[in-house]
Amino acid sequence: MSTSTDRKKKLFIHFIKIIFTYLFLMLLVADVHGQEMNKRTGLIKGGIYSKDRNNKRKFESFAGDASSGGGSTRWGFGIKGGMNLTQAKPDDQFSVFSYTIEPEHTLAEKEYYKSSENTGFQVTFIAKYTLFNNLSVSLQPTFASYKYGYESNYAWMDFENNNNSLFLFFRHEQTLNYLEAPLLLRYDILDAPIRPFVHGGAFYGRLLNALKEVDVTGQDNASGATEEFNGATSTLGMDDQYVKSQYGIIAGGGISISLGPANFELGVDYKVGLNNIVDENNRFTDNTLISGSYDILDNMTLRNLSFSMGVIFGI
Amino acid sequence: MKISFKRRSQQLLLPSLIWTVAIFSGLGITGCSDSEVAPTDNFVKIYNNELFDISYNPLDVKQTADGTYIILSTANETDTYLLRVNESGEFISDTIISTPYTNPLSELFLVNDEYHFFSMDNVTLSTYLLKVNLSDSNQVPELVQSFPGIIYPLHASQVPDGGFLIQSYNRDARSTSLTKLDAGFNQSWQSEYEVLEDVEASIIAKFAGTGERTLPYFTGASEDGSIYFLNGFYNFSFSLLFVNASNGDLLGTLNGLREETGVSAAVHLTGDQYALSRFSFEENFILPTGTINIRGNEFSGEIGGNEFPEMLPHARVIVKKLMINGIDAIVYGTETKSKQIALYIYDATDGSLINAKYFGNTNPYEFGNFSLTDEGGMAVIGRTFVAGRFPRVAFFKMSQEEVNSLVQ
Repeated sequence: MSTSTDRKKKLFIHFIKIIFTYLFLMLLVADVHGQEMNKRTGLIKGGIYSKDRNNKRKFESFAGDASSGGGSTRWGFGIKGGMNLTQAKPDDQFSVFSYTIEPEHTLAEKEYYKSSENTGFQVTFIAKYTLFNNLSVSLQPTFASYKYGYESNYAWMDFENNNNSLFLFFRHEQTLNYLEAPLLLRYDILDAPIRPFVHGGAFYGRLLNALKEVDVTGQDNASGATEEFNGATSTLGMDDQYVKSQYGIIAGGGISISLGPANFELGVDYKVGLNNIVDENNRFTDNTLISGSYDILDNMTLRNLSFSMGVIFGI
Repeated sequence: MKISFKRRSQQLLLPSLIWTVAIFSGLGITGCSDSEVAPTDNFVKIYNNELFDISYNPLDVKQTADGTYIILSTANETDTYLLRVNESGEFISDTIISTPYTNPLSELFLVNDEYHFFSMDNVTLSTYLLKVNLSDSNQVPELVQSFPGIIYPLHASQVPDGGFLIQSYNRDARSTSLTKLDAGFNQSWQSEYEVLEDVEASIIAKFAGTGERTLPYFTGASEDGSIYFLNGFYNFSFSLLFVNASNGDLLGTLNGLREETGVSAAVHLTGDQYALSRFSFEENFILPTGTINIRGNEFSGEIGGNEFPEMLPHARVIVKKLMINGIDAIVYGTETKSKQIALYIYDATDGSLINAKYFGNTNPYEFGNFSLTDEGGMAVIGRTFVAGRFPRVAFFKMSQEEVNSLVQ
């Protein structure tokens, strides 16, 4: 118990370190960039001076850059949240069962659910720094809960007596909770109160916990009559079955609407995981998982489509 | 006036570079590299099929020179079943050898780089030696030799001189028989040990897989090969007999009480020390370093040992002396009341329990056998009842790291 607590504490400290590293680098970039801008154009609060064709200094306001919070500021902070759809992409498939006779009624491989059936959610804190009128970078620490699922079905038949048969249907639903740190470069397409934007970057995620819910149903014809049954649904901790880190790339876009000091945003992001999230060392270590539901995880990456709405305030 | 594109690009360059470095150094710092594990290192496999009314009961697993595995098993209690799987545990081929080669004995033996096993003729009850034919994709074994004088073969083991011991039951003389074969499978001697009553019903129950229990018949030899021992019926009881290796003369006994008390597994350590397990009615005891007077006439119920209430009454037990990670270890394989396969690992020098390892959960698992693999891992086989009702072979492969961790 204490080991588990220590591990979680270490994970938390680790994540805080990452966040602070990114923030430090962000400030560093901001500082370098700011100095460069000051040197070239002369920065004052609310805008920059630039020179026109006649070599006259001219003020360009940030007011048009509502993405930074609707005002003449470079920093913006906010929050957003929404739902996501996850698609697991198995690379190498594994099974507890090896068939000595080619099965006719059994699904020899898992059948993964489509992303539309795998609904999760995410909550994101946004820290954004405007580099130019339309270009900004943002760090978006996110709590993301992903879900994906699959089925495995098994059958046993008495080929001399067709009345004897048993069918089992296992539904496996996995929930993975990550703390993520996406780093995005954003471009606002228009200078207008309602502006579409696109962004892209990379993300790093740290697994907080993983759960699995197994639901077993079946049809037993062995007693001479058909008996449909619903087995108990069991929930298992799966933390050890996954590696602690996930990273990948992210791209998306949306619409930003300026209303007073705030920017309201609707956005869509697509994440592509680049690493296998399954811990191969522990694939066969969970007795309950293997022996109870005959399940082991495939090597896989995740694809995730997220929809979110939120608000950003300029500071 | 807008800032020119060129100027914006220049202003963007430095931050972009810093961010790129930051992202990838961040990924590196946080160590998100994948863990690479060879699929041959560790795995769990259950050899399933859709047949409703077939059952398997594995006896032994051995790794071959090419890294694949052979599993010797029974099918439907009496038929001989050979299963071959690859380095990752995936099925390659199998065969059920029905009549006349039924009831395979105990284990696979490596002789001249080829695996052999003994089985019984289902009609004459005599003994056969068969060789696993690895080159045959159908796994049909070759008959090597017949032993018409060995009836009701119960157990076979290999002894230090490369020869073999076969325990059998002579129903005509109502005696337990021990036959010594040399490394070329020629009979060196055969000795009889009188039971003094007819125990054929118990013998048949073993072969037919009927009855409440299977009695723990076994044979073995001391480290130097000067003493042989066998566990079987003798003098009205199920007893452990120690015999002279040169002629089979009885030296001493560790007597049981009818079929209710006796020894369930034994391996010689050094001198008079043996690692044993014993049963007394429904209780099980383990003596990792027991001193036995092999020339005496003692009662097995009085040799002590630690009681293991978690062990299944009348559990199948196999004990082996293995060198694991530089440590002389005694490994007991058995099964628990909660229907798990259990390994108990002891230090052979002082008999202290180092570790215990369990396999299986939720559905029932029964112990079969275990053996070390070439790379220092361990193969453990047993029987599981898939979906609670279909008896299938289960194979647990542990990596060298996992095995080494058992003695740390």
